[in-house]
Amino acid sequence: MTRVPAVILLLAAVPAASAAYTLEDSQTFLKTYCAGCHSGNKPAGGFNASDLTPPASLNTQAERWTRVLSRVRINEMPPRGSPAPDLALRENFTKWIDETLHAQTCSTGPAPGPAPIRRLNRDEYTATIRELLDVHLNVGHDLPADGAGGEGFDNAAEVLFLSPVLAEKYMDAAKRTLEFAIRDSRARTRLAIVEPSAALTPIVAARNILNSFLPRAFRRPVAEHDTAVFLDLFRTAQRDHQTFDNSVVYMLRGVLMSPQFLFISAPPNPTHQPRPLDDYALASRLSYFLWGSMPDEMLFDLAGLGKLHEPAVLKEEIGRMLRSPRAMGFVESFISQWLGTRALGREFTPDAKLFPNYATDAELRADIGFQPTVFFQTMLSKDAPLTDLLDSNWTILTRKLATLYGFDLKKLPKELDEQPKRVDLPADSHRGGLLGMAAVLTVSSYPYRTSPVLRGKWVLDSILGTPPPPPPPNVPTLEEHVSATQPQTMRERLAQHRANPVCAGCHSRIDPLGFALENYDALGQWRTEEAGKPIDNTGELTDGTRFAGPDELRAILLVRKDLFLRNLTSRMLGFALGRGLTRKDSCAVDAILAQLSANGYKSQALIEAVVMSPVFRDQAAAD
Amino acid sequence: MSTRLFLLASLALRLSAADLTGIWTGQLPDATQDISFRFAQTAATLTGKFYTDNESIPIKNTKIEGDRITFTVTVELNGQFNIITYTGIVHESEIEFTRTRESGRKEEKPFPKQTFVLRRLA
Repeated sequence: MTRVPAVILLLAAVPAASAAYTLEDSQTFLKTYCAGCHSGNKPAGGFNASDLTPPASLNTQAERWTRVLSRVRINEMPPRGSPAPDLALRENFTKWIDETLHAQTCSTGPAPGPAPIRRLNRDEYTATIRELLDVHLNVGHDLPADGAGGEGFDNAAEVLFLSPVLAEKYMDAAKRTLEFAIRDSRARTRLAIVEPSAALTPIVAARNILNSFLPRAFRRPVAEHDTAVFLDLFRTAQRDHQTFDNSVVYMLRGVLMSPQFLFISAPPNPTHQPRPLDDYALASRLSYFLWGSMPDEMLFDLAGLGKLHEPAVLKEEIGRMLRSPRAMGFVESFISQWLGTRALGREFTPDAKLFPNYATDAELRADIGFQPTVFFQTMLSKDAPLTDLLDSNWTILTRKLATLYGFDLKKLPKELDEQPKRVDLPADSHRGGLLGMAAVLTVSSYPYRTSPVLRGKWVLDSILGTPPPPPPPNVPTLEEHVSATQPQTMRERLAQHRANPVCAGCHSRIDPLGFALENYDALGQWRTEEAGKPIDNTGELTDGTRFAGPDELRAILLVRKDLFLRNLTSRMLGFALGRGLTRKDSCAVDAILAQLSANGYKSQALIEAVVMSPVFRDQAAAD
Repeated sequence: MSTRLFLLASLALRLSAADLTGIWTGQLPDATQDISFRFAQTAATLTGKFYTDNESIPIKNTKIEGDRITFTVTVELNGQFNIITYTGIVHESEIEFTRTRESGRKEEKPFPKQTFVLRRLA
């Protein structure tokens, strides 16, 4: 038996299935670790573990079970100082709850979940203004960056609220934009601004502008009452002896500050059954997913004809939208947030003294940042299998990237320049898939050195979707073990860390994955030595199986592609819906994965399956 | 004479059987660029628009002759106006188009003829 297959059989980096776990086991867990505080007449936090004793509680008390799951999973419970289960017990318990609730929830198949109203985030606002007014200004420049929520993206409704301070910033942005637009000939054309004349009173001219502008700004047809409030603003400005242009700006500022513009929403479903989303709302959901911006005229026309929801039309539109240059915004936003590479050059910068090539070369920095995005965009355009993200015999290179990676430029099949190109990789290049990319390897390092812990955690979280729990309190960090008199290698220091039983449970899962990537330095350059010593890229999983280097790690991940694909699908669905996923959404993930499997895991099939899913196309029944 | 009448009648029937009203899409020969139109047909009158990235341009000089349609689209690029002529042969659910461009500038070479197929989307 070769080394890799042995590892494949026993990928202990991921919790094993808990097939043998039973309801009785869960009750033992609850009695041992929870009932001490959560029982009796006055249970802690008003939570009585005995409520979860009857088997039916999995149905009737699903929310309570979910609370237990999340608190135990992240080590919040049992609290510090109380008897605590070891990692295996904890994982078996949480995995059993997860699987049991999932099976129960999905017995009736996928169904649409909530569609919370959400604000346009900074990038969406900027892109929407650009399309709406045909002005090429970075109008979001002065707006604060939006935090991540939901499945880890900045388009999640959970974080896109509107504070008074933020509202003022939007007001300023709208004012600046419109004052520019009113003087710009292209924007005036787009706004259909016609000067009042003897035949055209100012109020009629203003109404004409609104009739053209408002449906596009609100992304749906408008009624008379929609325009009335903004015409009142125009009249107010006119009464104040403002010029026609200033009055138009005042009126349109109102439009750009209105919730109908700033927020994405759908007409409520008053029925008690799920129903297809209104075609205009579907057009917006689709365009903010694939373009990060408002629908174009063709999407509006298809919605107006009532055709957009038809599967054949929708599928054609997905293809058209993915082929459009605008889809690059989606790819960049999704990839950089999913992989965490957005932090590169922002919150995270490699040490300038150790990596002067990065510090001094703006072109190289851009190439590093862009490589994963162009890679995924190329995958979509060629409809490559999603497993190429794990390992591929090609990548995206520029001359500078190829040099960084140590390629002999003369031996590459393509002549490279500053433009990113798809290049077939030579054998043993170690650069296939995401794990060979500098952007990924850099953001999963410290600025001054690699970190097997960070990289291992990155693989568990970003690739497999099984993030380790946060470290328990009062565990010393790795650095505190360093002794000035006894220099240790990173591996030795981590071994010492794992000697602590409190740390061992998680680090035995995390560290080996990171060790396999030790041939890449903190900027992703290949190395065989560190500080004069040969790199040890071997890892030992908890079952004693050994493996070595990034290529064997890729092989392991490929065999466990189901975990990766579930994680990628969940993230893509969360990004598409603009919200965090619920337990019910996991049923849709199951259905999408089944379609992916039937389509050879092709990348376009993922996008199509997400859009065609009932959770994307339909809206939930009224409560 | 009767044969010509029959041919004309059958052509008219073919065209009337394929009312062009609706949205038509296709891809240019290099398959990197989509191209879409919306047509509205009333008897022998054709109007419509050409979808660009962020707006639409009306089609002009439309002509329907049997199963053949012709129209022009004027595209502005960097202040320069280019007239593109589209000639299509209507099949049942497809239109086979050829387009040629008259350059806005005399010194500029007209781009080569391109042939592509549009299919009805809606």
